[in-house]
Amino acid sequence: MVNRRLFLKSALAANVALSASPLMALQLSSGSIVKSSLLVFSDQTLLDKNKLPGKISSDLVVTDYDVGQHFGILEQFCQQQPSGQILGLTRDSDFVVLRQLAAQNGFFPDYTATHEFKENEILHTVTAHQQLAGTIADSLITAENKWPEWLLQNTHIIARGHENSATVIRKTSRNNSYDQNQQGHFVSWLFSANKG
Amino acid sequence: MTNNKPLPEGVSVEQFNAAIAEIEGILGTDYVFTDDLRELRSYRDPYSTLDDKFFAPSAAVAPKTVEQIQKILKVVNQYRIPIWTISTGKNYAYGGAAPRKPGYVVLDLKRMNRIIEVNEKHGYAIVEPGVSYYDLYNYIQKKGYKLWIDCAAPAWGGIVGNTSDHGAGYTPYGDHLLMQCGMQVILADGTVVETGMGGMQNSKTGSLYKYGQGPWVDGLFTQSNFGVITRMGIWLMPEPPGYTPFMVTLPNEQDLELITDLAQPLKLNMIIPNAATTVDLIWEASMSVTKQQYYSGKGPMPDSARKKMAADLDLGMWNFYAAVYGPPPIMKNNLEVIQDTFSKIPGAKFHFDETRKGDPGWDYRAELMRGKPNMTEFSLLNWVGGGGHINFSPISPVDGKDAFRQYEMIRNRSHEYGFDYIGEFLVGWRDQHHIFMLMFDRMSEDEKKRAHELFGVLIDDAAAEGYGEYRTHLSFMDKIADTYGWNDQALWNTHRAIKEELDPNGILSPGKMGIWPKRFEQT
Repeated sequence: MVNRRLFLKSALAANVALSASPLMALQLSSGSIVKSSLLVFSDQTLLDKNKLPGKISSDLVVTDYDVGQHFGILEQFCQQQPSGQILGLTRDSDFVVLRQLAAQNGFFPDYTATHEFKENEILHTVTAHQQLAGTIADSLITAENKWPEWLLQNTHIIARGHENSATVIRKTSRNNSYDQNQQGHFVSWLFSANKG
Repeated sequence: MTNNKPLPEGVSVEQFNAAIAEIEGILGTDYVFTDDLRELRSYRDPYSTLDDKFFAPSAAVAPKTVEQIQKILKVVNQYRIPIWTISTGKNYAYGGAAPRKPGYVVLDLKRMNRIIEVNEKHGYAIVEPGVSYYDLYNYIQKKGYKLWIDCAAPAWGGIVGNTSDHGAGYTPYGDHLLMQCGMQVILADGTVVETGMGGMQNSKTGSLYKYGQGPWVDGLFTQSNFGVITRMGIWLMPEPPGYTPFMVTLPNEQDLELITDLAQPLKLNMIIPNAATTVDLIWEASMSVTKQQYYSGKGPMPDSARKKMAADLDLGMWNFYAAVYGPPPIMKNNLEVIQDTFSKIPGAKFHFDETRKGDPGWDYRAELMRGKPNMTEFSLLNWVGGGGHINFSPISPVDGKDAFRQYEMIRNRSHEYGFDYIGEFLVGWRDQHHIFMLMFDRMSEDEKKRAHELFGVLIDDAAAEGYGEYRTHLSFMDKIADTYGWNDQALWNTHRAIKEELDPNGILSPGKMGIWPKRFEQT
């Protein structure tokens, strides 16, 4: 059972960028946003740390069947990094549990999305600030199988609070770039202690 | 201050705001939550079959001390604002932290999280409502006490909340209310009561003997709204010298009947001392796979897919979990009796740690049966996407025919409504808690509607056969209370009479388990 914790400095987010145009639009709008500490929870099947850029490759909390093992990490982060962000790429059940635990510690969702892997298609349903939801969903489509990495690299952009949110659905056919064994329903989310 | 949030019935915005201001004066603003978009979302039920606005609170307040609760009670009595008490609020499938009606103020006791005493010699702990199973487990590990806790699955809930909701665990101490001893309760008028032997000045046996002299009243404060429990004694099992968990996989649906009848005397004679479980295939499988991996169609999973999944995962249509405890010779002897007994079932196969370790379903059960908390059971919620669920929980005799009758009844109805049967029987001393996990996509209005209808039908079906539920979701508390209707609702009328006497303003958790104060019945 892997149980690693470290906090990412999201300065790394500037290092890697995909060249899709929706993403560029987001980057352009992010110039004034202050980057903050980042804690990442990822399901073991979603982010392959070995394929990530060097600076973040050892800094993930990898979740598998028992999310309870990681409660302490989340609580400690909330207490020590009140201006930080927590990104999740997890099973739905882990999201529900961690959201509840985060709320107890003053952290709330800024962004949530579901990602459904069906036999022939992939569906991203994004709930975020109304000015960003469509662009984020487009970027996830454009990033193809690298969508988890795209989220990891753009947390400073997608956090805009949960007020005035909108939900956008984007669908794409499943091409060979996607892991064919990946099936089911995953979620991604971003928590912060920002008010509003 | 209300931001279009619901208000308690009969309370004006001005009254509500005045009450909140007074509570802020007691607790400070940090522990009074009124932001509906962020803070109060965690006090809603994400898994309700109805729109969660029907159970949306107007505020939540989190006191730290008995004195603060007394002061809050004074305020809400004055303004006649209903409060909904939670300890940790984690009983999803039954409503979580959400109140029975919109507009209630949640009295959140999570901050009352002191472990007041752990007594290794006598095997008990005294805890406040905010102490979770994880908290108590970690504390005992840190101190090195040779004691086990008995936790619910998943284990992020609290001892006081689970026990007072008649929850169960998986070690020999699995009947939580049976292992409860002594409590401190605040009545609606602010009076603090210690129950049992704790009613004496300087009692030396408050956590050792449950009853004291006179009526045993602790049960009155469980699954009820007669007071606010602020402290509870709970017995802890001494760590045994040995522990051997095992599982028996059974190839056929009909084997439920036989395994139940064979397990009954083993349980009653304490050859199997713990709260054993007979778990259906999908429940077990969902610890490691999702439905979509085996079936992408609509409706319940067909038999062919179920059989393939069972073969792939080396599971049975039913899977019986239990454990033996004690010195090795005793465990060996008892296991031989158990193996001889269950070997009478054709195709029954025994599994142990040596061959099963690493399987998530096995691992979490093996941990629970020795009181180690985990969250693995939440994997169930990924069986279908958007893991909504509510639990239908009828009590069954430990009798094969009854168990199979209940199973068939629920399976047929759930298939009729397009859902999988996902269930387990938790084998107690003389009863079984039959838990049917009704899973639906919480994002699908159609599935929520069907699930809601199915649940109502199941209550009626079960009642017609003489089976009642032991616990339920907010939405169905009234309906199930009605099934306890013998002699013109004599039992619930008694509950209501006690309610009127102890809480004349009807401020404590109105409607909990179908117990309504008069003023709410009128509205």
